[in-house]
Amino acid sequence: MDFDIKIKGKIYNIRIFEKGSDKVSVKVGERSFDFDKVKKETGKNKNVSEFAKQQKVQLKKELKAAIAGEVSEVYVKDGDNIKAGQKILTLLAMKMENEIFSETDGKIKKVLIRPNKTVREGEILVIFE
Amino acid sequence: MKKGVIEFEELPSTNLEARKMIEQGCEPWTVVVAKKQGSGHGTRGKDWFSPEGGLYFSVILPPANIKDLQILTLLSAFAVASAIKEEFDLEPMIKLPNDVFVNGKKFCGILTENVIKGNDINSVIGIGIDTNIDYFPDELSRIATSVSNELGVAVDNDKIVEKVIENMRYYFNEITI
Repeated sequence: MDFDIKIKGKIYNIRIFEKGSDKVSVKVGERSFDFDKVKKETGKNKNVSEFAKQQKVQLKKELKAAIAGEVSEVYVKDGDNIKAGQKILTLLAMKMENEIFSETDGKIKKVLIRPNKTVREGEILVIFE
Repeated sequence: MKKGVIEFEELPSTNLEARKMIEQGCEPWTVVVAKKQGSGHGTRGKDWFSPEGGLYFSVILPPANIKDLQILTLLSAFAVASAIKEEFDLEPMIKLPNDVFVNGKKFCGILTENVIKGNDINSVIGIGIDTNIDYFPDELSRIATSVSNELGVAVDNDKIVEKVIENMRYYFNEITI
């Protein structure tokens, strides 16, 4: 895995890679930190690339409000099949218009909100099958 | 105009153009400026009067936490108010969360648009400042003003963009981790 993080405005490059069969190395900029791999009690160890892949394909069953706000528009209804990248709803919060799109293909099980409804942070908006 | 600032003679909306640019892989902090907008708008699609002479620009932001973006929307109003106060002999007043007034009349509006796909958030902050606008339509004339009307002289739009962006970058770096 190779990515950048920003701390207090400064960008740091982070690389995580396997070093032999029992070590994992984390490189932050020019500095490296080596760690022993921990064996899990169940099943075999996962390598770094498998772990990263698993995080990516994990599907969420619910869409929750990241911030409190007011739903301005809803573009889907119960039972709709949706495509990745399809617009689901627009949430207004502190004059920000947040357009929320689907991450993956799927089917809408239940839409729990309607236009003009105020929602709290973390409130479930839509449930997927 | 400075590097990273893309200027158009006319656009339907600078926010719309900035969002297209994000899809094409545009760099964060790219600024889209139009001399006028055909369908400039604020929240809930409300029209924003956008004739030539005014300053209309959108800033493509680096990825950030949605709560940081919420704060940055507020801080953008401060970025504009500070720029106007520092450059001219005016005392802007901020009406939270995102309007800026001078002498009781509005001269700036801000619209942040976030496109959210899971953990990916792409954001554009659109800013409209009535800088060199002499006349407003009847429905706006009692509630809107321009910097040039208040000062009695025209102002330099390029300089204002530069100052506002500088302020926004400073605030962004302060609030994001």
